Amino acid sequence: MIPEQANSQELTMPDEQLKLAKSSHDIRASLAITNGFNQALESTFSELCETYEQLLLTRGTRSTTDVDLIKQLDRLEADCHFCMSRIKRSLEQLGSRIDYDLTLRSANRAKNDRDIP
Amino acid sequence: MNLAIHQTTAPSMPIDIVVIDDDQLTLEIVSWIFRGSQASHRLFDDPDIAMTYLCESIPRILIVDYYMPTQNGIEFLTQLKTVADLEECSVYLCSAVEPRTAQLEQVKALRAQVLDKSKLCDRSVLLGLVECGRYETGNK
Repeated sequence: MIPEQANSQELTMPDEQLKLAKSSHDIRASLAITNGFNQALESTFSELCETYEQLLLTRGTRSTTDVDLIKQLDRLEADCHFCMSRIKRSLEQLGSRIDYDLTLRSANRAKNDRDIP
Repeated sequence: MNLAIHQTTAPSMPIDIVVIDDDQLTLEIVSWIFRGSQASHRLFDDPDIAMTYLCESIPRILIVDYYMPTQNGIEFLTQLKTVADLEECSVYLCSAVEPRTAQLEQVKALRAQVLDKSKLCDRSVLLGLVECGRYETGNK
């Protein structure tokens, strides 16, 4: 993730500090997003399990309820796939943000070492 | 991609919530949270498009991300306040990190509150916020 340009009200902050602040923010933001999709997956999967149990109870009755439950199962399965794909994407985003943060910090350390007389 | 497509009320009605965030995944989780809910919402990944919309229509709740590419949330809100009346709107500045003291002063001056990003991505918190119209952060 490439850091965005400094905003005017933060120009008083040294550029390195600004980049580090944004980098920390981005890592935490990725964690929050991953948690959000994780919660969504958890609740959707619970709903899917409940629906499946309901379907098992009505198995063989060939009622319209069965058809509705199967449709619901399909929808919930698609939702689970959606959540998993977003968890994957947010984890990839988190990974690249951590890599960027490490690069930034190591460049800062190297600069500080050079600056020490 | 602009997600400003989630209008669920007639144009004349004040919308419940507007969220502005350049991060697509954040908008996707927010969109997911509101799916099936009665709350009317609009999501923007572009602050300029959001500004145009907000000049015409102020929501009950406005959530603006702090770190955006062209301007930060404080700059966005400062600009918005010059063109729109936010008196009836609960304004939140969303950030994943604790704001610095100087930023907090600016947030207070704008009569906004800070909302942690993890809360924005939390279904119960976000839906509760829309239902009650406020979220106690202790900094207002």
